[in-house]
Amino acid sequence: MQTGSFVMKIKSSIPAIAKGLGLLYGDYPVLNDEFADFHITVEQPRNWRRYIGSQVVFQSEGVSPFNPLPYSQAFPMLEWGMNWCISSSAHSYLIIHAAVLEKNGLAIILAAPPGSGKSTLCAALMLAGWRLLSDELTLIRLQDGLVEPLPRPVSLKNASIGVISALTSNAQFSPAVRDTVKGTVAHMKPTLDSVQRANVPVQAAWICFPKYRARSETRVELVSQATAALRVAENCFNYGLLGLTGFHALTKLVQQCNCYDIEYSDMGEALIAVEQLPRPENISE
Amino acid sequence: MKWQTSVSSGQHLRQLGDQYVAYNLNSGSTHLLGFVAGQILVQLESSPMDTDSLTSKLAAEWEQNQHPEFSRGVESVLVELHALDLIRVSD
Repeated sequence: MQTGSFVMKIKSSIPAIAKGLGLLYGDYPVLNDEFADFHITVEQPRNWRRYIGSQVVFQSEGVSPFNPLPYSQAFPMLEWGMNWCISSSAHSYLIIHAAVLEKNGLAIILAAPPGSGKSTLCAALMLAGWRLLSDELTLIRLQDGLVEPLPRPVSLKNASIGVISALTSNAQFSPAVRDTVKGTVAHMKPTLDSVQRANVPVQAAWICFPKYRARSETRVELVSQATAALRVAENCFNYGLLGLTGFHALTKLVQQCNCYDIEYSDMGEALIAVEQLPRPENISE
Repeated sequence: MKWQTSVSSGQHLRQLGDQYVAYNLNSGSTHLLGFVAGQILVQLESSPMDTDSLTSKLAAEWEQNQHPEFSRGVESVLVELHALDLIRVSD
């Protein structure tokens, strides 16, 4: 299966994996080549662990980066594992833990720690017509600074599942899985346009730091590019590993972007605020 | 005693608006710097200088009188940059 620039060969006999892939990845190209960037298995353990309740193990190239999880969490584990594969090895990119979407040829990066409402805002923007480039991993190409799309299902957690479900009757969601380390999680299928244009890289124009705060007024405040650079660095998977190359990629990225804090409680207002963000001066209409 | 930047390539410093970010190749740390600190690094990258010469040069560039408060401000920033290992005493 081709997801963005990466080919994943997935092997599993677990029905929830087949169901999740069928539901959420039906629009993705399936390749018949032998080549794959990552060879993934999600199976029940073969050792003594199989006797301790019902568990699943994720492996890539024979490596198990996570402890086994309950059998019911097989599909979320596959999603987290695919993220791990890319974030731990795709070092031709500066990899930011951030959502990223595109509209009119320009990308907005939503960088924030877990629990900030990043994925919720990302899903709402996608439903409002933005093209999903990624919900979790923003890939900045080192050679030209463009955002490489990696559209995969949007990971929604806890209350955000209901918030996004209420906004649409068309979107498809995987069954909610309870009691994971992140609480209840469900994944939302990307729009067809997002999948079909996964080979079209984009220039970033905005870096936003969203924060959901109950009953707050919608507030948009400019953040200096230098402050944004340090915040983004803190949210990178491989900034330290890339060294000076990462520094150059990071500073080039923030130099071309307008950067904002966005605090919100009302999703409709947040969407309007994002739509009204001014273009950077160096980018013409 | 003259000061010089710890890394002389100039590739580790970027001006972003009226602030700077500096990458310390030795530690791998990235630092957010104010305008004065960034300008001091720019000056020291061009050539090592002692504190008095640096203060005079900055005062001339910014059309400031070289009064004691200005000099103390520059000295204070030099101490901070030294603590961050972004500058060192010139050989």
